[in-house]
Amino acid sequence: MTNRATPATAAAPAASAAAIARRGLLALAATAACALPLVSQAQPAPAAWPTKPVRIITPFPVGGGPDGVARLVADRLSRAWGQPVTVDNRPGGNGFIAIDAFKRGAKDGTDMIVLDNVHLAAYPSLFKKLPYDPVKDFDPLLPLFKGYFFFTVASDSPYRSVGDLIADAKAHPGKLNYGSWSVGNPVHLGSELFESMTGTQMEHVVYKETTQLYTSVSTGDLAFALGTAATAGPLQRAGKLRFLAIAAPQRSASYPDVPTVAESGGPKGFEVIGWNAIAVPPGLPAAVTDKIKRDVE
Amino acid sequence: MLEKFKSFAYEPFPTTRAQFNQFIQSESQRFGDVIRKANVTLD
Repeated sequence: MTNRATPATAAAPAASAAAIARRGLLALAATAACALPLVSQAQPAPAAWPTKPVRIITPFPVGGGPDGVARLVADRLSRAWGQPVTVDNRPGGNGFIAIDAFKRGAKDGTDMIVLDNVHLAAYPSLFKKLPYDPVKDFDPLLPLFKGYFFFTVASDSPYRSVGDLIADAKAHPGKLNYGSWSVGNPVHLGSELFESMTGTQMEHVVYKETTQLYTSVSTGDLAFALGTAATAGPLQRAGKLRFLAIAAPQRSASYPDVPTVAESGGPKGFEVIGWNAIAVPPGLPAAVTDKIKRDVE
Repeated sequence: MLEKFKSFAYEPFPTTRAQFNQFIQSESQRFGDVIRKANVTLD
């Protein structure tokens, strides 16, 4: 064994230096002959991370808005990192199935998770016992997007404004139905907030899935449901749903003709937002978290 | 894909990590208030 680099190995890639740092002395000894000149720079170089395929676990099913965004991110990271980045859909169970997969996954940042806002912000107030700790189990690295919810009604609904809906709800306390897909999602909680801000009382109907939910709005079985453009957009574009108003501080650039709730006779400051975040295991080196954040953005 | 993103009316959401943590806290507060007011419980 010699300590001199041979001409053939002088151009050893920087990645091998970082790999040596991780594998430790045993590996170092084995490769010393060819790689010693690089040892002095063998810090955990962020450029060398990740050295294996990356998985983005998501609680959302294939198709639909949040899945689309996760795939966009995976594609971007895969190009930036030269590693396969796959989206692993683990829907169901309030997202707990995906969270469980994440908790059992790699702790080096190569298993990431997409979290819905309710996982970090609502469920801790909603569940007495959660199968995760929102602080200890996740480092919420960065938000991916936010989307405001629209009041969706049937295209032939008598309501022309949120004001009409409030008036009808006040005239018929407890008679109007709205829908969502579970207890404690942003649509359910947003509708509860709407009731509380307008002094109305309506019934919450839980649907198994969003397709059924918005179909029931389009047929008039439900007075309204809050929905995003991603989920309710197809029925809206098909002319079966109308977007009465957007629960946002200002109109959406994508839907400039749809008024805000306040403009439509509803309460001021009424907002319903959905957002997704990418989280990694806590305690990763800043070089890694900075790199993920930078390359996603 | 970016076109689709736009049709979803999703907005990008750039924050520093400190701002994002603060945002999560204010969201938790907001959701917590609604949940208590509406007396929503699970499990």
